[in-house]
Amino acid sequence: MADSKTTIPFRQAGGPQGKFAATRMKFYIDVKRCIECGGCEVACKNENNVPQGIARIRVVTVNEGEHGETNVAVPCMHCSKAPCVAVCPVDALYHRPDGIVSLNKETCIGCGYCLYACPFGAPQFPKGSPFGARGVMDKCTYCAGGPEVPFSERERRMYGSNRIAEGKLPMCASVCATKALIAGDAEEVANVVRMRMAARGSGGGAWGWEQAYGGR
Amino acid sequence: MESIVLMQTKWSQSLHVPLYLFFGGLASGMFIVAAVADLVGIKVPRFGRLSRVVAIAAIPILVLAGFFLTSHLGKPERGFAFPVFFTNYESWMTRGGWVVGSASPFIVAYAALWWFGVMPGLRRTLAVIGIPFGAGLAMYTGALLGGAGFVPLWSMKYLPILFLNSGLTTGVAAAGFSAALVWPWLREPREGARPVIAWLSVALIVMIGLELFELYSFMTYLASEPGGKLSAAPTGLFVAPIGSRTAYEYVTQGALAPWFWGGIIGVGLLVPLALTLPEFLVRRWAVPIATVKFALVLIGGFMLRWVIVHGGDVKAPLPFPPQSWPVPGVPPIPGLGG
Repeated sequence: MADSKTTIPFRQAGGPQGKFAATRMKFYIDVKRCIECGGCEVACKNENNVPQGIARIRVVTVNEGEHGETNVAVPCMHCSKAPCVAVCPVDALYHRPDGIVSLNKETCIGCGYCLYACPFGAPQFPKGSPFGARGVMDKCTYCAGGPEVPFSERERRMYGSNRIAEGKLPMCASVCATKALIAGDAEEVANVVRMRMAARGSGGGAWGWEQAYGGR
Repeated sequence: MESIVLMQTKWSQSLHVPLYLFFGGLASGMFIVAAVADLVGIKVPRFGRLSRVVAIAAIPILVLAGFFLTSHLGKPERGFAFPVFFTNYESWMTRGGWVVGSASPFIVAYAALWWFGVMPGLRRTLAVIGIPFGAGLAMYTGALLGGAGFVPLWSMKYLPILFLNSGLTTGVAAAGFSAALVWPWLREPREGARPVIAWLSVALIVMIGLELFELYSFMTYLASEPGGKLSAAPTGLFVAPIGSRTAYEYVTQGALAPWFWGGIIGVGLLVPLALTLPEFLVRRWAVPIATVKFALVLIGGFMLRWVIVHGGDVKAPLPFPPQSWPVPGVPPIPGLGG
């Protein structure tokens, strides 16, 4: 059980000692809370009119039906050192100032290199033509739209909704019933993680199956 | 700590990638064989005739490589215009565009000089200068895969050399195949093919031996799990070679095992090696046996690319839950772990 005397360091989104730190928007998936409801998948597809065959977020289940079954939602993780950005030959993938890894579909040539570079399988391609040529890449945009005029029909058609510009969080995190999927600035997300870890106990037991619902 | 290995089988259902890797390596190997034969042909004229056959035969192979390379793109026209659109030089695809773009003119110009039978001095100069470019083309195909980073099977340490060797092996095989089949159609004396094929068979033995050694070294490296246990890796948890043993098992014992052992090792390397014996013992059947042998090596070369590409479905294991991920900028909290 948690030690009530433990002080949990809490950092502001503005960074240590009040100094400004660049925003880094991140996802965090608490695998001990994910119940594989699929709400995030449905919400994403509905909000962004995701093409058929593409899953911008998907729930992966390990040890299904057995003791220790674990579910984890896997969207684009918007890595700080994104391998997809590193390998894209035409710089169609880029980091936004807020840390979101964004895609320019006008520039993308559909080579598929990012698909292999990504450890999470985030980049995906729609069904190809009869000659095997695939379209341009599609992936989770963090509900931040794309390099088009915000809220324009073109942006919506090509990239989906732009909730970030409205000051909202991605749809998947917004609808997550158990708050297994949380999104926001990395510092704020880290604060949530620290509080959950403190509530569940210390060391390896913090992530034990017994702690998922028995502790906090 | 559990780990998840994400598979991406949807991607690898296309044959385009293995085909352009194979044809690209084959074209470069054929060019190098033609260049070397041309230089040897200064003293031994029949090798000069072999060089002509192989150099010209390399052109349709190069065209096929280019076709499969660009046809799988979502925007093929931008692939052709890569000097304009490829701006990220950190990417091996951009670097490779220049490798292909610089090697291809050598291969085409060399074949053109043979076709028109002019300027032998310039032709041999192109051969000498072009050999490193051809080798670069073969190696680049391995570096392209190795640059992906999170695919344990695609080792930057082994794939470039393996693909170079395979390119040369298939180049020698294609040279022999061309000599056996095309020689009479080019109005060359047929008896000139047999000694050339014999020398190519000897060269093939050496190349097959090298390739077997490299495959053994590569698989041993993967099986040793060079990335260490997941819990022991302090940083770079998702970077290959983490998960190498998983990839090794997938290739040698899993779904790809029949293609690896049967296609690459058996059909592509050991059976051709075994056929060398009757080829040299039964002279009457030497050319037909050699033709079959060279064809098997070509099949094995394609199988190598096919297995490597499909083996790339296995990504580096993702350690969920991320209990060893440090919270950025925060020292470990006493009593709460890392």
